[in-house]
Amino acid sequence: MVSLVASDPFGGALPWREAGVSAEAVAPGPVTWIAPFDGQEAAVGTALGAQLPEAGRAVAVADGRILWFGRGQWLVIGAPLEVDLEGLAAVADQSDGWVACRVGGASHVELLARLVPVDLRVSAFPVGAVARTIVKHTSGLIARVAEDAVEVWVMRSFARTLAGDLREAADGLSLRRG
Amino acid sequence: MRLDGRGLIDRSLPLKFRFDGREIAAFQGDTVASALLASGVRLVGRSFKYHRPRGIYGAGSEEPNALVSVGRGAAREPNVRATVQEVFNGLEVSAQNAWPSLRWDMMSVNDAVAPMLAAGFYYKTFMWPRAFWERLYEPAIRRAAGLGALSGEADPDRSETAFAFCDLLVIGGGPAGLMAALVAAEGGADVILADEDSLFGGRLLAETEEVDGKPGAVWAAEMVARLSGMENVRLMARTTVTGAYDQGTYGALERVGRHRARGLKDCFWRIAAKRAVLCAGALERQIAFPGNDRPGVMSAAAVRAYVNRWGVAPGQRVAVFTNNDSGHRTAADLMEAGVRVAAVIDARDGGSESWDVPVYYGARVCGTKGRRGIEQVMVETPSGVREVRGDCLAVSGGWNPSVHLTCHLGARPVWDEGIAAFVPKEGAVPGMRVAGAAAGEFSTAGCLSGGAEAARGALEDLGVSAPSVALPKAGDGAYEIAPLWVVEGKGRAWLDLQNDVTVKDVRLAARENFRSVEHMKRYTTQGMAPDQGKGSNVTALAVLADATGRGIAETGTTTFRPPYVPVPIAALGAGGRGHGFAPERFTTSHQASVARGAPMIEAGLWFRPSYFPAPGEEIWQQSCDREVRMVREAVGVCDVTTLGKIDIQGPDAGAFLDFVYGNVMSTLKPGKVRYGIMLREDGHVMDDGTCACLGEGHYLMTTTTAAAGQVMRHLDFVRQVLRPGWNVRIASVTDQWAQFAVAGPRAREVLESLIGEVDLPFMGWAPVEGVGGRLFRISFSGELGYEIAVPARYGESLFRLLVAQAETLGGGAYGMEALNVLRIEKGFLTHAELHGRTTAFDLGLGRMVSDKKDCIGKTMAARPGLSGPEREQLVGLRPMAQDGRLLAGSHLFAERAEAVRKNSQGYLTSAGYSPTFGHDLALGFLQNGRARHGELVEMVDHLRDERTLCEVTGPVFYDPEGGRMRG
Repeated sequence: MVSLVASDPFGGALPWREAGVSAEAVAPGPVTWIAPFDGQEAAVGTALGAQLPEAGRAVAVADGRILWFGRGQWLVIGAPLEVDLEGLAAVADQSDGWVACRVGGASHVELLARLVPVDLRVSAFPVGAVARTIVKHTSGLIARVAEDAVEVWVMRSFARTLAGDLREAADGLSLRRG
Repeated sequence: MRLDGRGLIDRSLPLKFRFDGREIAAFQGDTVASALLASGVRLVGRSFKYHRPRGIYGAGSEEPNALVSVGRGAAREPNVRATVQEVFNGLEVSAQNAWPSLRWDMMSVNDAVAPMLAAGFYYKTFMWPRAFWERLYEPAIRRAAGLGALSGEADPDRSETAFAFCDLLVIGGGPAGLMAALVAAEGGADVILADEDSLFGGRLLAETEEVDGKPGAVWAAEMVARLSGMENVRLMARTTVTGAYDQGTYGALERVGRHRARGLKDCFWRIAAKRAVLCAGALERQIAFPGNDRPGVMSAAAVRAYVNRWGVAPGQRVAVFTNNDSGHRTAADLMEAGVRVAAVIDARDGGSESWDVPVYYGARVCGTKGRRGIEQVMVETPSGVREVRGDCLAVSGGWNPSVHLTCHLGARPVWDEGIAAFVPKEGAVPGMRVAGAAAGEFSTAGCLSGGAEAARGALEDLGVSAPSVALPKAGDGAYEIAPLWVVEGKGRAWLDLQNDVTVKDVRLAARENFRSVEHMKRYTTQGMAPDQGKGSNVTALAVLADATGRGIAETGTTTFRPPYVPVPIAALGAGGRGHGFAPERFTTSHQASVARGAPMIEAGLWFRPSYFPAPGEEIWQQSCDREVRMVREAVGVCDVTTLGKIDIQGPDAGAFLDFVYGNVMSTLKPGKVRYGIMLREDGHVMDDGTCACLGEGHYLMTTTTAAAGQVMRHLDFVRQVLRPGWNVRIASVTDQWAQFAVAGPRAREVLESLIGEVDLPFMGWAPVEGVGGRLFRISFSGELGYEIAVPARYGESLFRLLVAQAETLGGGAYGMEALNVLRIEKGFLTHAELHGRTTAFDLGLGRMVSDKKDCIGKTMAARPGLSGPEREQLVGLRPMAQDGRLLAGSHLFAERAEAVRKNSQGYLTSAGYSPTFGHDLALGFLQNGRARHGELVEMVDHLRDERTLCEVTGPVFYDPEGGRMRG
């Protein structure tokens, strides 16, 4: 196979800083979707070395993290899936299927309140919290990774739309402040 | 006239704005209304229907009269209430509904013929002849009536929408709201306090009374300072809560930057609140007496507001007409401010208060005089009619609690005889309490304690213990009212100033048997348009109650619906303009395609290249023809990433596929691909596509671009609802892969130059080493064809290499136009044919619904009428003349049959010029079509006026044996 070059899903729209918000592309490493078969959740957890997090939560594992991803589904992020889950779970590579933008800074919650109908203030959405929700028009996932930053995940083909929506919301914040 | 030493305006910050081109001086803190009154401007607009001169009536968002246009050019906005618009330097304001000018309005001729224009006039007069309504009457009426007009250009201003969350939403920042917010915040609750004014304080800003030993406005400012220092409190000024919705959701309109020359205009908020306290206050109502619409007739409470908050005397000689103590307050404040009070006319009997001005008890205003504003007031006293000279008449007919939000979920307010007003029904909106004047509590002390009490109740609901917060001392005066709705007399007595509805109109409605309050509203238009009758509803229904011999409680109110104030569509739909209308999905080859000059077309949310123009090509058809020939003769490359890809795994995956596909899929072996069709529950075809077996119990389903979302939703439904016991998991992997079709006799050469030897049978797949890719041997063109999939990050890179390689072999990239022609030549289907009303039988795919197993839609597809010769069946069509045109959407008729609806035998779904055959080709549906190959039918396109005689053929024109595709 000839060698192929990886391209930027955000098309050069990131990073930026505006209105007390910073946005940058995340390089999360391998992303693997897993969906345990009937009755296998505990066994999958054991194999992965951590209990699968409950709905709306993330958990750290040795060389990465596991995010709840919807009903009966999780994303294993950060390292390739070394263990064999054959017979325990459905597995699919999503390293290129989903992309993430880290939105941080003092006004990141204020900015995302323009796009996301979920209370993302740290008091309601602490570090480790995950939400499957919409980001403006787009289906996505929000994960709080720090007191002052969350990751916004969308399907790759929506990456440029996400970058544009974030930027437009930031412009709105700047305009609001006059 | 400005009053010295009064008001909350900042006299150190003078401002200037223009009203109808005239420069008006103002101060920071002024509204357009207060500044106009300070400059002696009384006439600010013409009324909706009769073009009567109108002045400023109130001081808040309920203003019925003083609607003005703000801004100019494309940014001009009509129907802005002058009482709400804050002044800033450079603001441009213009009067509405007047031509050529506000003072000389030609259309005021309507007023002269007013007796003809009573309620129902249009309904009765313009019924006949019917065709005249649209062409003549309506345009003429619309020109004459109406309020301001939009600029007709795209709005250059920006707005936004946002979400907010809280434990307690306090709606209204008067004494009750401030107290509620403080108690809840001290208890630790997360509080949002929203008020539509630029300052918090409500009526305290407009009155002279004291709270806690301080002027009310000072107390309010101290409360605001205290609340804004608390982390769990969010103060939202200039924010009107516009609607109450299910489960504690409230809509709110924030006027973000309307008080500045630049910046964001509005924000429409959706606030999710665990609990809410409505402290929206009350609105003063008027009394309907003859001539009560003349400029200078104002709400008595508004007159106090102008005097106390803005330091403005609305007139030089003010008369006061009241049926409750509010009027006396106004007179007292005016006198204290040094404004001359002409008389106090109190409709109540037997008062004996001694004033320095004439006070007439048991008296009524029975008329007014004046040209463009009031000059004289006719007073009917027990001892005869007197004339009182004055340029302003302050009127109070009592107070209506602002119950609107409590009615938004369907509750009706309750009539309270004691205050002659409607009050909220208990528990009208789940989770919402009502306090203060909105609950019918009109004393300041009562508002403070009511607000605190409501907050304590909310805290208890939230499981928080209430803090001890001392109640400030405040006035506890009684509210003495003797209801008075209408004063009879000569001349029109107005109810709804915004819609020009009079007492007579309402009585006429009752006479004509529009006795229900809802019917009366629609017949007279009372209570419609921007103010929704905030000032006139209760009075109008009192008139209706009287005219129909019922009580007010029995008559009831019309339905209060959101929004409480007008919400610009620009705010509701903010973010939705231009590209913001829908999300955009881009393939990895997007930039490379654009760089090659390809026009991109929308396919669902995706963007796909239409064609790739080569040098010298001037129209799309040239590019399309070349690309088709290129694929047939050499090789073409096309991005097919947009097709849906669904990964299906589990022990029951095979059974699951057999259940959702018409044909058997479970027998597919690893390394193989099969075409399948899927039916809807109702037996019609939902989608088609290929399915690859990736391994034991592991499949990759491909859907069409258009139906990818629908199929994913369908599979989830089947898995969760119809077959919950099956052990199967599904995931969308559409975005994980970039996938390209490489088609044409030289397709293998292109691929081999990049990935090494290719040895794959038709309908097989194999992994691509190196990048973890996959190669499928499938064809949508009828040529030797492959689809190569790689992780999306490599898509752009691979696309560039594939196209470059293809070009060295006489090929290149092709777009949607060529793709469509290729598949029409080959008789392959898209959603033009799978349009939701066709069955597998219609498509000639009846045998693909296996009789060896059950599947979704199988039973329903067997219904009589869904198969047989009466069905319109898929056929190919070929013009008899070489240059005969075939057009999609046209209908098919028997030769020489009249081309009318009942003779239609079918229709064309896909058509285009085939460079391979040198004439047009089409796919379509024809009654009993499969038995009619070789027959002649006539295509008639009624829209484009085209008739073409054509021959019915099988749907596969090109290589019907499939040798090229399989070879």
